[in-house]
Amino acid sequence: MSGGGLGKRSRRVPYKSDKGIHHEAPNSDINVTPLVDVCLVLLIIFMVVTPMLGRGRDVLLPVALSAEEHKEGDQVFVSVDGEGAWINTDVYVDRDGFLEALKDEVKVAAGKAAASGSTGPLLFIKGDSDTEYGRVRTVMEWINSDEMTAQPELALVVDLSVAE
Amino acid sequence: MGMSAGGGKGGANSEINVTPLVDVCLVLLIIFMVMVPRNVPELSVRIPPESKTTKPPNPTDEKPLVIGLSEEGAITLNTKPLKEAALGKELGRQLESRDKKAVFVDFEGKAKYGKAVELVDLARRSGAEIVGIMRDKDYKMPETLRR
Repeated sequence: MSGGGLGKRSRRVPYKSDKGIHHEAPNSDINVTPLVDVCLVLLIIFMVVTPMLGRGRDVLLPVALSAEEHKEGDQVFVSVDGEGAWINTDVYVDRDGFLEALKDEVKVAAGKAAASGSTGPLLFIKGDSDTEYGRVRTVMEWINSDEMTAQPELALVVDLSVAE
Repeated sequence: MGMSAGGGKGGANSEINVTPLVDVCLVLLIIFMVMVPRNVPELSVRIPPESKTTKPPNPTDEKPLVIGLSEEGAITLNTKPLKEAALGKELGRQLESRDKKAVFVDFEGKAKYGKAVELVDLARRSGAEIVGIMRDKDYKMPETLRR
């Protein structure tokens, strides 16, 4: 019994490999290796880039018809919504913690702006359109209550809608 | 004719494999498309510094224009209630004759931020060059955003 089973197996193995060598049927499977390569690279890139973008937390921006446009790059984005004030990916609800974090950001941004010679507002406030005005005003007052972070002008980021 | 390139059967293929090269280039292209700096539309506002010395208002100074917005969305100009369209016209008319094209906003804390920015936008479109945030004298800055 066992001898017969062995014989069967030894016959099958060369038969299988023969088929492989001759390529009788074209292989219709998609080659996933480069696809996976590209996807992994994209994944890694977005993992690296997303926190570095520094455009603040996404909020529903208020709509305006007229606005000044500034190239983004050296500014600090502060988002304000129902949860609190956001700097990058951290949320702050108390003045001291917020200013502590903002000081570092402003220092870096001011250095960059000075190096590139860019003018214009340094601090951009992204307020959620559904939040209360008082919350945004409070954050603006916090910013101007410390001379390290105080700005001559604060920019309220808006969504530019096409003029009617 | 023996020189004809690429005809040699079994000869090593010396051509570069462009597929991965193109892959990588496309990925780089996408990355730079994503990272390119975009223009951020914004409205600049000012918060006047708290004046230590309360100087008496100069009688020749023009009365400042103050826009108000209540929690319910009612708009006022120097405490006079107005409709939104009328506010734009009124601001335009009053600002035209002024040297300092400044408008102050004194909105209620509970007003919607979206509406507040719409009014700032309206003020700017009506000719205001400087928009300042008003503060009450006896208003105390909150230390927390917690409700």
